[in-house]
Amino acid sequence: MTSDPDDAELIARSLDGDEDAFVEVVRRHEAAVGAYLARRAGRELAEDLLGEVWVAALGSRANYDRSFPDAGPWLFGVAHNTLRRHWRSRPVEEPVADVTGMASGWDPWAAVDNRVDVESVLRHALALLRPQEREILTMVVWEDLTVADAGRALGIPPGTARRCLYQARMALRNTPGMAALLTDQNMMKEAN
Amino acid sequence: MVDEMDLLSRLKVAEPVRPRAFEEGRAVLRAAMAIEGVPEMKTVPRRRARWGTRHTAGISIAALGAAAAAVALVITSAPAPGHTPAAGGKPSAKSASAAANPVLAKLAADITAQPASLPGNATLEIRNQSPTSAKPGVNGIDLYTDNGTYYWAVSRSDLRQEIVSHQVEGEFRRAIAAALIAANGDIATARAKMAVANFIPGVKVRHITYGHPKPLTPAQRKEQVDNRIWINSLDALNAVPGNAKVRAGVLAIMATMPYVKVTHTTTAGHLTLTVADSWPKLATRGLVESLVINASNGLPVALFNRDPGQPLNVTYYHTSRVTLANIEAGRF
Repeated sequence: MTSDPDDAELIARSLDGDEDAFVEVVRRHEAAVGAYLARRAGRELAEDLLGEVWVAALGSRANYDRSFPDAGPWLFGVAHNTLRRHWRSRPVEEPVADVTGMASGWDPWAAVDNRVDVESVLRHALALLRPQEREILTMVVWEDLTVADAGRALGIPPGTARRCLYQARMALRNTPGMAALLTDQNMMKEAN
Repeated sequence: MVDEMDLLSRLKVAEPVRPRAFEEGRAVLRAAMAIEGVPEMKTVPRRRARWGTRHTAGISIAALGAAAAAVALVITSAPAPGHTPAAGGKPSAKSASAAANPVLAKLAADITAQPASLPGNATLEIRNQSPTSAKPGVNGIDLYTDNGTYYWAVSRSDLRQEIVSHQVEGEFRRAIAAALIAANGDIATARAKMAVANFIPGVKVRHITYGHPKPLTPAQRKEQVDNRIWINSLDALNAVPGNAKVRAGVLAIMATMPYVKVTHTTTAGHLTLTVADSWPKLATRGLVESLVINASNGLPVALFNRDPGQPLNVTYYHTSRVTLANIEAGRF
């Protein structure tokens, strides 16, 4: 019995002409990459951009570092660049890219009284971060990547990624309203 | 103990991508594998409207195949703000069998006599919707080094960071090289190289029909090649507008395109030429893309494009020469 080939092996096969091998890599990661795009651009645009992400990944797979068996962080990086390209080239009539609108438009949770306040403060705080710090932070928190993998997705060394994460957390913590919010949340948690 | 990471995780939930979209994404991938055989090696902001997967909800392989054929663009009939046809300015078109477009050919020859390059080693480009103001807009800031490397950022401070960390957005060496070949007079070689300038070097380009409803006709294939030449020529022109030889080469190539149309116009009070690559049978599809250049030196001034049913999108270029060292030092 043989184990399934890892992503690196499939990418190698695709470079040898096996198109199905690359489609298999896509199948493995499409849910995570789709969620990544949806959190940042909304479902409609995420669905629109998915194909572009795969085509871009196909085009750059020759440069994939096959010492990494998991292609997930690399594909997040391709998705990140695809989004950047979209924002870079969007027609003027489209809304300006605005992280305060990320993950909006659908609410699966029951109404929570203070949620609007929490979201408002958080989104404002996110918008104030430097782009690279924001991306590292959200990749770690939302995509469950390690900080090293988040750095790999963005093409920056692990040490730099850790520094970005630290700075992002400090900036978030020092955002006006955040201290009061954390105090409230901890009091509510203790009360419960 | 709740911390900021816990709070942030509450914003994780997003409306999920539907299963059909995953299938369509894979279909786009397979179609791209088949139609081009070779994916593009770089990314270009101006290319999106031409192959437009994004604007097609629920795109299918057949739709992508149709998009592959829908590559010709027509000149806009509605003038953009600050841009008007000059008095008596009729399009000068040429047929596939005719000689090079005389207006572009003459301008290319005139430019060749101009100094080859300006000071600095890179071009800073602001794309916005104003014909006169160079204030950065929603499209951020582009920086093209003279060797063909492309950076992009949302602001000046971010641009410095992008360059210092070498966050390259694209490469245009091959398109520039093709333009220089044209400037030296070998138009046939230049066209052939420009047509594949956006592909990965050394990988064979296929025109296979896998996933395509039927093989492309010779005319469709010619359109496809012509489309690539047009787009890659735009890239070369935007990448090093300061280099007169590149400008001359690009215009010399465009002059030989079978359905290129040139109209004398004025833009923000300056004499300009509006150049469109217009395949007649696709004029009804509603695609518009035309390049506006300075009538005396060929520098890019604006790009107009419109997807079917969409309003005209006008982008003005504001370029300046800079040095990478100054940008890395924050002096720009």
